[in-house]
Amino acid sequence: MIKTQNVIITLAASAHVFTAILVMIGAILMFGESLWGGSPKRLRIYGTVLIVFGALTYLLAGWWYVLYYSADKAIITGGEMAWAHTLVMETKEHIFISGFWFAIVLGIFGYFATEEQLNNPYYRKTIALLSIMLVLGVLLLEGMGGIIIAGLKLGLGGV
Amino acid sequence: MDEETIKFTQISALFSLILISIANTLITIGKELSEDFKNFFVAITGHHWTGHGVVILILFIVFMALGFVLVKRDIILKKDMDIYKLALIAIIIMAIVDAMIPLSLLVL
Repeated sequence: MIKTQNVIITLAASAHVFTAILVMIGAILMFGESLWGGSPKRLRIYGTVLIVFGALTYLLAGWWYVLYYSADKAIITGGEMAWAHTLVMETKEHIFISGFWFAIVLGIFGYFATEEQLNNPYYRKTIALLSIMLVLGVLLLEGMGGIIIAGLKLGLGGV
Repeated sequence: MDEETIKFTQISALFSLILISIANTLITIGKELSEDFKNFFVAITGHHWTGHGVVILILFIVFMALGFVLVKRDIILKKDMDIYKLALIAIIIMAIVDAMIPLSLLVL
C-alpha cells in the first residue's frame, strides 16, 4: 500500500515537467499566431492553456517541493554534485515564481486579444517577444531540473 | 470588456510583473539574510516558500489594481504608451533581478 502511494506521489510530482511542456507548447503556438496568424479566438485558447497549465505546474511542483524535496536535498548535498542544490535548485526555486507570473501575464495577453489589437504590429511584436522569452524560460527550468536529477542520481551512487 | 479596459488590464499586468519580480528577489535575499524575516513567511503558511508564494500572489493583485488606476488616470503609466517598450523593460528588469540570485550564490 505504501509502495503504491509512493508511486502515485512520484508520478504526480513528475507531472509538473509535462504540464510545463504544455505551457511551452502554448507559448510556441502563441508566438506563431502573433507573427503569422491573426485569430483572437485561437489566442484566447492558447492564453487559457498558459493560465491553466501554468497554475497546475506551479501547484504540483510547489506541493512536491514543500512536502518531499527535503529527502532529495539531503542526498544531493551529500553527493559529488552538491552544487546541483546549492546553486541550481536555489536559483530554480526563485526563477520558478517569477516564471509562473510571466506565464500568467502572457496568458492575460492571449486571453483578452482582440481583432483591433492584432491589426497593430506593436501588439503582435509584444506577444511574440513575451512568448519567445517564456519558451526560453521553460527550457532553462527544464534544463535545471535535469541537472538536479543528475545530482540526485550521483548522490545515490549512480553514474 | 471594451478595447480600452483590455489595454489597461494588459499594461497593469506588465507593470505588476515588473514590481513582483523585484519584490521576489528582495524577499529571497531578505530570507537568506534574516532568520526573523524568514520566520515571518513560515508563520503565514507553515513553510517559507508557500508563504513567499502567497505574499507574491497578494502583491501581484495589489500592483495590478494600482497599475490599472494609474493608467486610467494617466499617471506614470500612459494610456497611449508603447506596450512593446513596456514588455521589453519588464524582460530586462526580470533578467537583471533574477540573475542576482545565482550571482549572489556564486560570489557570497
